[in-house]
Amino acid sequence: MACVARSAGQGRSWELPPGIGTWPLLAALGVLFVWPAVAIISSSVTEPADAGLSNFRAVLSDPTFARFVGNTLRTAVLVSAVAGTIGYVYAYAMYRLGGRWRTVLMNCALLPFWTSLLVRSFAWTVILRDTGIVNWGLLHLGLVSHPVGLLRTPFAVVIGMTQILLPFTILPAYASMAAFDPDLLRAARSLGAGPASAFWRVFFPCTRVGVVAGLLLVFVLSLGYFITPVLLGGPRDQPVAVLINAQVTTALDWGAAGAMAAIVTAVVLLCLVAGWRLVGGVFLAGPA
Amino acid sequence: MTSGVDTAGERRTRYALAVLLVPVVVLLLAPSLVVIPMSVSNSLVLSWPPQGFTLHWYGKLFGSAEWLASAQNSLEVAAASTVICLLLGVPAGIAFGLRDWPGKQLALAMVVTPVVIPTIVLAIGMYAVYARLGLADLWGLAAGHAMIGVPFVVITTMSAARQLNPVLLLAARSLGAPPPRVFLHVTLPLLRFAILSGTVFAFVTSWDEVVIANFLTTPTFQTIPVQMWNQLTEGVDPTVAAMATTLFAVTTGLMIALMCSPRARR
Amino acid sequence: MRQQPRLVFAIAVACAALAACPDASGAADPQTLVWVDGGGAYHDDVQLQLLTPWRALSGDKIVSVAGTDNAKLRAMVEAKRVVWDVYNGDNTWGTDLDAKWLLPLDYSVIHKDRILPGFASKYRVANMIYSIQLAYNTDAVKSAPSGWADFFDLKKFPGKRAVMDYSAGGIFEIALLADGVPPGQLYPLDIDRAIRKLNTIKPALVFWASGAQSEDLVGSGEVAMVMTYNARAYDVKHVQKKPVDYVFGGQILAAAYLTVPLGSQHAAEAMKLIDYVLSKDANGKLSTALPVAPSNQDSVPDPSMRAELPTSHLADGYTMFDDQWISENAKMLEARYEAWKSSAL
Repeated sequence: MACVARSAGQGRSWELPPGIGTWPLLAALGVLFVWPAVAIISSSVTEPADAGLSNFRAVLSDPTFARFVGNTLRTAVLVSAVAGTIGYVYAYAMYRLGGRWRTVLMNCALLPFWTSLLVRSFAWTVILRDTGIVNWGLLHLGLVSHPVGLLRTPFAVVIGMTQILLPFTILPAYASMAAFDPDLLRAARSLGAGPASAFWRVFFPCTRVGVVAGLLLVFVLSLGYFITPVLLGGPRDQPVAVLINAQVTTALDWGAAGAMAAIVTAVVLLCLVAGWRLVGGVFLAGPA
Repeated sequence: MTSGVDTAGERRTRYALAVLLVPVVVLLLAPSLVVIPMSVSNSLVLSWPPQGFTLHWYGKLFGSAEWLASAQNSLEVAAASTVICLLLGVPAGIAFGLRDWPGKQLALAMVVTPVVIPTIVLAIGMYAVYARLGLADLWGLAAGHAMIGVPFVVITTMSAARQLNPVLLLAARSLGAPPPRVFLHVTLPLLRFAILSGTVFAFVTSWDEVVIANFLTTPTFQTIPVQMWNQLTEGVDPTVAAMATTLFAVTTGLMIALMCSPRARR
Repeated sequence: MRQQPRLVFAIAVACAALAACPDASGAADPQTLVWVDGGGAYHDDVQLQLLTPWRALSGDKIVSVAGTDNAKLRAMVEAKRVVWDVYNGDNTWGTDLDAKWLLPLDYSVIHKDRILPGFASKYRVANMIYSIQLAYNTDAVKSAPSGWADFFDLKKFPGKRAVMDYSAGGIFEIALLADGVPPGQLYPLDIDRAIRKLNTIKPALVFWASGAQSEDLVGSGEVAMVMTYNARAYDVKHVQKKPVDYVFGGQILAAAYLTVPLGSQHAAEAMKLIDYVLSKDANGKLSTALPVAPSNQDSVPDPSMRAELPTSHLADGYTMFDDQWISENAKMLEARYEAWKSSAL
C-alpha cells in the first residue's frame, strides 16, 4: 500500500464543493492583498503620466537589473539547497534519536526565531568580520597571520540566510517523518531490503513531501530577503530588493519600482511553476 | 522508529548523526548567544570583544515606556495576525492537500504571491488601500502581516494533509460522525504538528516584520522591529542587544519549563 | 487529545489578559505636532535643545519621530492621511522636484532674511550645516592623510576604505576631487572619470548603509579610512573614544532642510515651529552636542564646539553639493552607481 494512495474520485461522500475551504482565504486575499498589489503595480503604467510600457521596456533592457535578478536567484537556489539538505538531515536525526534528544533538538531549531532577524544578521557581521569573533579566534590560535575575509562574501550571505531559514525546512521535514508509518519500513526489511535500500526506496519517497514544502518556503523567502544580504554580502551579492528599494525610497519613482516588482514576481512565479513540474509531483494525487 | 534489527549499526548511525549535528546546532544558536555578552558590554557600540560589564542597558530597556509599548503592540499584532492566519489558512491547506480540483494550482499561486512580491512595493499598496478601508494601527498591521503569514500555514497544513490517510476520515464518517465532527475530532488532531509549525512561522513572521510595519506604524503605535531598525541604523547602542537577550532568555525559559513538564514525554 | 482543552483554555486566558492590558501606546491626539528627523544623536539633540523649549513656549504637544522616510511621506500625502507636520530631510530633499508632496513655506511667518544665502527656497529652508569628511583610524595609518587624494592612495596608505552606499552621498564627488578636479568645477559630474578613479581602489571598498555602521567600521579598525558625516567622525573620536581622527580639508558641505508635507493637519503651527528653530537664539543650540553649524548668520554656536564646525575650516578647502543638479539627475546617478557597484572590475 503506498503511503499517498488517493484518487480524485474517493471523496464522493463529501457534500460540500471541493476547495470550499479556500474561499474565505481567497476572499480575504482579494481585498487585503490583490487590491493593494494592483494599486501599486498599476503605477508602472501610469507613472509618469501615460507611461504605457516604457517603464517595462526600460527595466527589461537594463543589464544591471538582469544582473541583480541573476544574483538573487543564484543565492536563493544555493540557500534552498543547503538549507534543504541540512534540514532533512537534522529532521532525520530528530526522528531517529527520539525521546529527550528530539525535544532538545526541536528547541534548538526554534530558539533562533526569538532573536530578531535584524539582530541575528547584525550578530553575524560581528562573528564574521575582520575584527570579529572567528578571526579573533583564528589569530589567537595562530592558525592565520592576517584576518580572513569572511564578511562581504557570498559565503557569509549563504551562512547567514541558511541559519535564519533552516527552521523552515526542519519543521516540515520532521512533520512528514512523524506522519510516516514505521510498519512500512519493517515490512521492507522483512522482505529482505538492506538499511540503505529501505531508506531510499521507502522512507525517503514517503517523507520528501515535507522537505519539498520546506524548500518551497525557503526559496520564496530567500528571494525577498533584503536586510541579511545587504549586511553580510559584498557589492556583487546584492539582491534585487535593493534596486527596488532605491526606486521606492530614494528616487521616489514608483513607476519603475512597480515595473521591477511586476517582473520579479512574474519571474519567481515562473520558477515556481517550473519547479512544480520537477518536484511538485509529490503534491499531486496518485501513488508515490 | 526503526525496528530493533542490527543494534550495533543502529548505534553507529546514531553517533554519526549526533556528530553531524553539532556544527548545525552551533550554527543555529551562535548569533543568539553572541548577543548575550554584547548586551552587558560597557561599550556604546555593539562590538566584540565585549568591554566591561554593566546592566545599564537593561535598565534603559525596562525603564523606557517606548520599548515596553512597542513590545505590547508587537505581541498584540502578532497574536491577531496569527489567529487570522489560522482561521483562513487551515481550512484552505486542508482543501489544497486532500484532493485535486479545478483551479487549484491558480489558487495556490495566488496564496503564495504575497510572499513573492517585493515587500516594499506591497507595503505602499497596503498603506494606500488600508487607509481607504479605515484599517489602522493594530488591525491594519495584523491584516498586512496575515497576508504574508498565511502562506506558511497553508503550505505546512497542505503538506501534512497530503499524508493523511483518507481511510481514517472515511472510517469516521461511516461510524456516523457528521463532517464538522470529523473535521474537529479527526482531521485537526491528525494535522496538529503541521498546524503548530504553521502557527510558529506565522507568529514569527509578524513578530519580526519590519518593512510593512515601517509603513503602517504611526508615531503613537510602534512595533519592536521598527524601533530596532531605527536603533540599529542610527546608533547601535546595546539596548537592542538587551532586548534580544531578554526575549531569548524568556523563550528559552519557557521551553525548558515545557521540556521538564511531565507532558513532554512523548 | 486530553491536552487540547488545556491549550485552548491557556490561549483564551492569554487573550483576555492582553485585552485587559491598559493601552500603553497612548491614544492618537489630533492636537499633536509631529516632527520627523534622521534619528540618533541628532534626534536626541533636537528634542532637548529645540522641541522641549518650544513646548514650554507655545503649549504645543510635540511628538518627535526618529527616522525620515521619503516614501512614507509620499504615501501619506497621496492617501491624504498626513500625520507628519515638520519633516527634517537631507540635502537632496525639498527641491522643486518634490513640489508635489510639500507645502510652500510661509515666509510671512518664517524670517529668512538672516539665513545664509542659497539656503532658503520655496519648499525648504536649512536649519543646520554639516559636512562629509574623511576620518581615519590612527592605529591603521603611519602618517595622517591630508585629503581625498590620500583616500585613493592605497600604496601610501594601505588598508580598506569605507564609503557611503548612496549614489547621491558624495562618492562620485570625492573621486573627482581626488582626481584633481577643482572644487568649484565639480558639477555637472563627470561620472565616467569618477568611476575610473573609483575602480583604482574598488577591491578595498566597503559600503556602509548607516552612520552607525560607518563609525563602527573606522572605530574598530575594520577599515583604515572612511568617508562619513562630520558628526559621526566627531562622535567616534570624542564620545566613543576610539583611535580615530579626521581631516577638514576637502570636506563637502551640506545642510539639513525643514519642510512641511502637503496636507499637514497643523501647517500654521508647523511654520511657527520652523521660525523658532531658525531664530537667532535657538538656531545655534544644536552645536552644544553636535558639530553642526547654524544656518542663521546671527546665531552664535557653542564656543567649545567652534573648532569642530565645518564652517570654521573653510580655508582648508571645501566644496558644496549642487542639490538642484543632483535631484534632477537622481535617476541617472542611481543607475550608474548600481551598475558600477555590482559589476566585476
